[in-house]
Amino acid sequence: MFQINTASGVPIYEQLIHNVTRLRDSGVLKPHDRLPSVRSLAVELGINPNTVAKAYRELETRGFIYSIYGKGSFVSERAEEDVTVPQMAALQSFRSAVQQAYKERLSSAQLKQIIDSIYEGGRQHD
Amino acid sequence: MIEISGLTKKFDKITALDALDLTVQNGSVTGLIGSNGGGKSTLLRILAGVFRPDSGSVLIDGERPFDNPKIKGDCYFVSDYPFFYSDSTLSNTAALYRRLYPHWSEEEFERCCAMFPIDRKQKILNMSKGMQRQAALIIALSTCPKYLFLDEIFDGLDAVVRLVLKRLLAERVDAQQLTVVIASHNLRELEDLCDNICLLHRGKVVVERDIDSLRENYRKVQIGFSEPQEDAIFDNVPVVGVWRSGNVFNLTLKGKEEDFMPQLEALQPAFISAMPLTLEEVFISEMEAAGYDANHIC
Repeated sequence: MFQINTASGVPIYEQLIHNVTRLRDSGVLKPHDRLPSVRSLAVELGINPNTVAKAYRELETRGFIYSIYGKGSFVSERAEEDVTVPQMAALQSFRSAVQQAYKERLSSAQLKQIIDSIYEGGRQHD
Repeated sequence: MIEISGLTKKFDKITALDALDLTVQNGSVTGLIGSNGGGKSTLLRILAGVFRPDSGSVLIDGERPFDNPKIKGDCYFVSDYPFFYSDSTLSNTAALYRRLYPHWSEEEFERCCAMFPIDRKQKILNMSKGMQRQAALIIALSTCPKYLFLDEIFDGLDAVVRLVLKRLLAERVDAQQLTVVIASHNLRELEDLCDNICLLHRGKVVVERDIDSLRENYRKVQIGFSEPQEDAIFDNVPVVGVWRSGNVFNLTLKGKEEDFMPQLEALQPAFISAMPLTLEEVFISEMEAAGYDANHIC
């Protein structure tokens, strides 16, 4: 169910967290769907089960999954206010772009012009 | 649990292990890495009860392994050159070990024989190195040890068998709280498998931590300036390696990105980019600091 890239330099438990949140946000994993057990996922991927357990613990702390002792881990329901992972990534890219523009001494007016043109243009096509 | 404290072992004039301290928790996988001759195999042999320490203490489940059949029954050591008698086959080795090892499982033996393609009646010493290793693994796993000590196990195993091994270990670490100490030069494989890494050089522990904090605490940074700079600009930054080409510096830093990045940005570089290190790069970097590097041993 999950893919990891062992050569990427990103810790495996973080990749697992990204995988689960992406599947959850896109609706592929629905609320109350059961996730693979720690052991079966570790065995399938050939990685340390403690790494999988760590990812599951972190997901539970963030409220993305919940566990029932003896039964497994399940996807939790999404609250409406949740910002999705793709939205958070977009905000982060935007923030970096603005920081770069600031470094290059562009004015905020120039930036606002771009924002307005995209959102105006977007509205015309809706 | 394995508790090692002040462990020293000498062979004539060579100090193989020098007042070593190490703790290994149950259900964990610890990778032993280090320079050749650094003490990895000696440490595994002391854990397996093959060698007796000269000083210091080694306790497995609170007892010394040397000359201790009770503890030895809970452990299994796969050497880098697995030993077999000249007429050993899987079948007759199993017949012997069935009697010797208290936790031997026929079911596991059958299961492992099915997973690794080896003829049970064939003489093991007639097999290739890789097949001999596989035979050793089948026996090892069939004794259902609590502690598994592996010396250079990945060497000689093809990619398919390596994956089978990783899966089997993953299963047992979770299901039975198997504790694994594995010495390897194959750092790529260890990255998937280990919770903790212990780097040995000349019998001493150079670095010992969990693999995630090892990754978080090293970065390589490329930093470029539009004007020439003195090397001394990095004096207050935790740099452990510098490679300079004109106005571009390639740095290896030991520390957290959120701590050193502001310091580097304060130098007003034209560009800066940070990346994590692979385990291999961490190894080389730490070994350079210990004086063991490509410039000094060639």
